[in-house]
Amino acid sequence: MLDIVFIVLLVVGFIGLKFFTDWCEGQINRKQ
Amino acid sequence: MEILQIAIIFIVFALLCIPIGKYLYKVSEHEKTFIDPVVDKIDNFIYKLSGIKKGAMTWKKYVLALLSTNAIAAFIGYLILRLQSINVLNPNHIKGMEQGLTFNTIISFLTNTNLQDYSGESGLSYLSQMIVITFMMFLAASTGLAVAWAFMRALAGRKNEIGNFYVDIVRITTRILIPASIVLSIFFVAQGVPQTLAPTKTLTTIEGKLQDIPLGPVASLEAIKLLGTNGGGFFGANSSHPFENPTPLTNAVEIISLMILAGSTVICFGHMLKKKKQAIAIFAAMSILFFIFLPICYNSEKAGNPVISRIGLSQAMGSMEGKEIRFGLGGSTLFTVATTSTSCGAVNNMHDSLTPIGGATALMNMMLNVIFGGKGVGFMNMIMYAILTVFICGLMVGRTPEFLTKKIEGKEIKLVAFAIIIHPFLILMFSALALVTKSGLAGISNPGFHGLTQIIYQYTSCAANNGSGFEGLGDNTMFWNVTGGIVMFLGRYLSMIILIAVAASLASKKSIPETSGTFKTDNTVFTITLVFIVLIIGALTFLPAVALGPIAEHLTL
Repeated sequence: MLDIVFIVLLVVGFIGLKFFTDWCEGQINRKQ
Repeated sequence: MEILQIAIIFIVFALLCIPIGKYLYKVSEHEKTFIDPVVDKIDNFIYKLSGIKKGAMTWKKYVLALLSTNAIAAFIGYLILRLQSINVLNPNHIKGMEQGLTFNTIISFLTNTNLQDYSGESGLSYLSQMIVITFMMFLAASTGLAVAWAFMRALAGRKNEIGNFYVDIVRITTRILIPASIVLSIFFVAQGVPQTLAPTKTLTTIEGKLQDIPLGPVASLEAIKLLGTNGGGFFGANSSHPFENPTPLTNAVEIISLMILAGSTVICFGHMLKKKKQAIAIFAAMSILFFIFLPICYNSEKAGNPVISRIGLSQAMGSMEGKEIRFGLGGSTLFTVATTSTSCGAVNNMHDSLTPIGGATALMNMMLNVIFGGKGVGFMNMIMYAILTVFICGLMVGRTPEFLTKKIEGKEIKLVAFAIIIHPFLILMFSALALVTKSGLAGISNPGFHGLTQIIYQYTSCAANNGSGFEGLGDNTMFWNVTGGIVMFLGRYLSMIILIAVAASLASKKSIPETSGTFKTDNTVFTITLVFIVLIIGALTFLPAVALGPIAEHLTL
């Protein structure tokens, strides 16, 4: 059970970083 | 004599950075090197086998390639550590690692932190040591350096051509890390470090008692542990163990090894920009900070511990509690400052036993996280501060801030500010969480000011991806394993992504010609201003925490 929790935590972490990368892209593409 | 020893080691390090920095540049730019005839064939075989296409990536593709590679390594590593009890290269019959500890260990080694909440000799099979721990040491180091290269290429103005992540990590591994590790491993074996697959030996001591002598493939791990600024030891005692660091000579070589690629990265930056003076300015700022903290640590340890002095024990040699006689005070304090500056995290003495001010210097090196730094990370953080410096100086004189001929705008400063805030946020918020929960407080072995330092040190080490332990803290519990894992994960990837994005944003802008009014970033004035900005931001952020921990402890001695 705990294995599943930790694997899910890692998956969520990496997917979260993907969205964070998208957010950064949005920030640098914004016109000043 | 000790000061001479420190001076010689630093001078050798600084001199070696020049040719190695040039070599890093040649490898990053695919220029001809002496190793090409042998390694080209190996690289091409790897590209063919894994289907790597060599085309340049955009910054976003580069980051996504990094994340996917690291994610796959994390899942495979997790499985191996959980299933290590199978009888493959496991002569000491080590059991599978517990879930929380596995989570912590995988993130720790993936993020170049190498914080170890286990003891290698009793917690890992030889298979795990080799294909999880040593493999991740190569992967994490090459990932860090690859990101630094991508960052430099973007700063050099190469829009949408910041390199190919897969090609970069292959070239870093086969042309830098593996050859250097082989040379260093052979040196370590010659100095008495074991390299064997034989199981632990049980011997009879001269007192007639039985003693287990753990062995294993130590020398190979030791080399990449230092060169990759990984820091995770084969044994729990890390570089204070005589099988990891047997002689004063290995100690000197270990210090140089753990600093060398971090320092050379700055020189590589100068070649990449074709502006050597810029690299010298950054290297000088890092060296100034290094030599601010080193004498504080050395003198504090040299003065000895007044509490021990009061009970009648001589402190003529300085505070030698937790230190190895074979390294002495100079070799121990230099190692401490070097390992916490470079985010390596290997230790050759017990940091928990440092005097409060000595411990504070180690803590502050990691809090600043800009002095040489780990594989590329400290360098990137220093550039982040350089951008902030030109922004602040621009505001002061009423000019549009520029860095490396590119205009700095609000969007870059917004991201830089975010990157600067993440580090203290992770350290202070998680420390606060530990202080208000029973599980967090249960880890403290020495209540009071020192206990607070234990907690702050743990999260600082995690957030800076350093990995050195203050020890003393009972950190192999679900609370510490999980929170430490989260801090290491966020501390590593968030700032990396932000800084590549900032560099890519600058790369996409037109260059502004330098005029007599341009704020120069490659002279002494800039270097000194940069040092002050780093110290002021660091002090504003962390001074209250340091005052309540090590400084308060010092005042009560």
